[in-house]
Amino acid sequence: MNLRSFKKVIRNTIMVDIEYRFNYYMLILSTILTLIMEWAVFEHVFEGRQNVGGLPASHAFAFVLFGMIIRTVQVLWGKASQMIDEVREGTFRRYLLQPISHPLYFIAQAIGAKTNTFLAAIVICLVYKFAFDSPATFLSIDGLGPTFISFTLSCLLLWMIYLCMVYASFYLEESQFLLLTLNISIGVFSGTVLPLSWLPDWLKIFLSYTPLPLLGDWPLRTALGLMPSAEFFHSLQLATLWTAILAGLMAILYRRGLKRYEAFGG
Amino acid sequence: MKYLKFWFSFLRNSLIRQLEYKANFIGRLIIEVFWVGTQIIFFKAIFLQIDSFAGWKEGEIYLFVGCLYVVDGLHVTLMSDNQNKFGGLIRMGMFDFYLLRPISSFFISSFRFVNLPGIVNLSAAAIIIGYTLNQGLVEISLPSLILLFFHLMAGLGLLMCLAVTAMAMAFWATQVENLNWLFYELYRLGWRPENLYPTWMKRFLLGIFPAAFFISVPAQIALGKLSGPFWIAAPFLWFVVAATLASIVWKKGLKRYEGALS
Repeated sequence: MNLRSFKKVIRNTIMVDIEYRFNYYMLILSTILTLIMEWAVFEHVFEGRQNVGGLPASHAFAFVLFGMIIRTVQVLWGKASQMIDEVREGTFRRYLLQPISHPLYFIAQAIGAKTNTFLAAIVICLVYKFAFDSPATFLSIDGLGPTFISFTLSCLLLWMIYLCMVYASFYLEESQFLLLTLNISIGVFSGTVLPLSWLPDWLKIFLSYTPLPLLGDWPLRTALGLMPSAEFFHSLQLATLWTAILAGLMAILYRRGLKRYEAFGG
Repeated sequence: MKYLKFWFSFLRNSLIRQLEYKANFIGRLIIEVFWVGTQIIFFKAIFLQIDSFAGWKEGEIYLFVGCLYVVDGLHVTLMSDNQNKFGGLIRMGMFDFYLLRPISSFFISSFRFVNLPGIVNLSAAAIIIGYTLNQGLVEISLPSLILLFFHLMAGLGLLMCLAVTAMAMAFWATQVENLNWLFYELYRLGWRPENLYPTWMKRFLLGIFPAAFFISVPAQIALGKLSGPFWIAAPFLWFVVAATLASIVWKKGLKRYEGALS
């Protein structure tokens, strides 16, 4: 692995991100609007209730806040969408000339693009933890490690899914619909908009066979201290397995896809 | 009439373009069904926990969701793709080509690309509203239903005018992707009944960014939760105000635009 190139891509992406400050402010504003919208729903659901479907009222705001933070830091829809277009339009060839493989380049870009958001999220979490005496356990000695592990692995898992979708466009030519499906699913079915325990039973069973709960429900409940340790380790095993499977699939799709790929232009 | 003919040409062209990638087109149709299902599951999950949600019963919420898909389906079909592409047109100088066409630049910028899978939302809306009425989950008289239709069309017109105003900001700002995102988030506030929000936000949605008039107010008038001449006239008045604003901003933007191609 070319570590220097990897670091340079991260640094460059952070600088580009800072360059478009207006975009960044808009992102913060729209995130606040989402928070208001989602909290409004929870406020009414928890009106006069101490516990709804296994989520204590004391954890409700933390659930909405961290759920939104997890989604915002993880999601890289725009970048993946742009790369799918580039495969179709032939401009994907520019990645092939770089001294770093495309999967690594994508992950470096993901880290770079999300660094500022991640730092902003840490500040919000610290303020929330200390100013409002939050019930979340993510900042305690016991909670920090599991939260970090689950969150990092969930990000990696999602980015592997994105890469599989980008490389699927070598075969389908246009795979934006896969990306849209994922984007819609991440909202309700990963457990960051509503607790998964609120969903109908048939849906919960179906979701347990997919990696979706590992993207949201696992890191979120870990951060809130609502995940028993046995369940945490079971999810850790599952997430590792899913990441390995998707990394393998991604590598196959990429290598075979490159052989099929025909770029044009000079 | 001339513009209607143009629009049908756009429709035909968009259909050909989208059918070029058949798997993607079919996938998009399935996604739209999935998207509708997601919203219904969202509310179903809430009503599995509680009986009434901010004064809305389950059947009333499904009528609201049906109205949401009428407005959103038409917006997605007619305009949203154009709104997303407009910033790039200005930045890359491709807007020059639109100015050279023998039709209104406003019309072609807003309606050039028709997103056909969005029509699935409209079918879903018809099914949801039909089911809600047929099962007696809500009771609405025929005149109220007709008024609901006109109110939703006014809501759609209002949404489109605000979208054009947001889109026209590209004449002033270089990067507007996140501005579009912000607009989308503001629009999304209208996807929930406005009485769900705190008072200050409710005022904002009724008086500053009138997202409550896209879906919520029309649905509440039809359900008899809001009544009186003010509420009946308000969606149409907002539409007129927003159309005037959009027209002014567009004209000023056009004057400011400097072609990037030579």
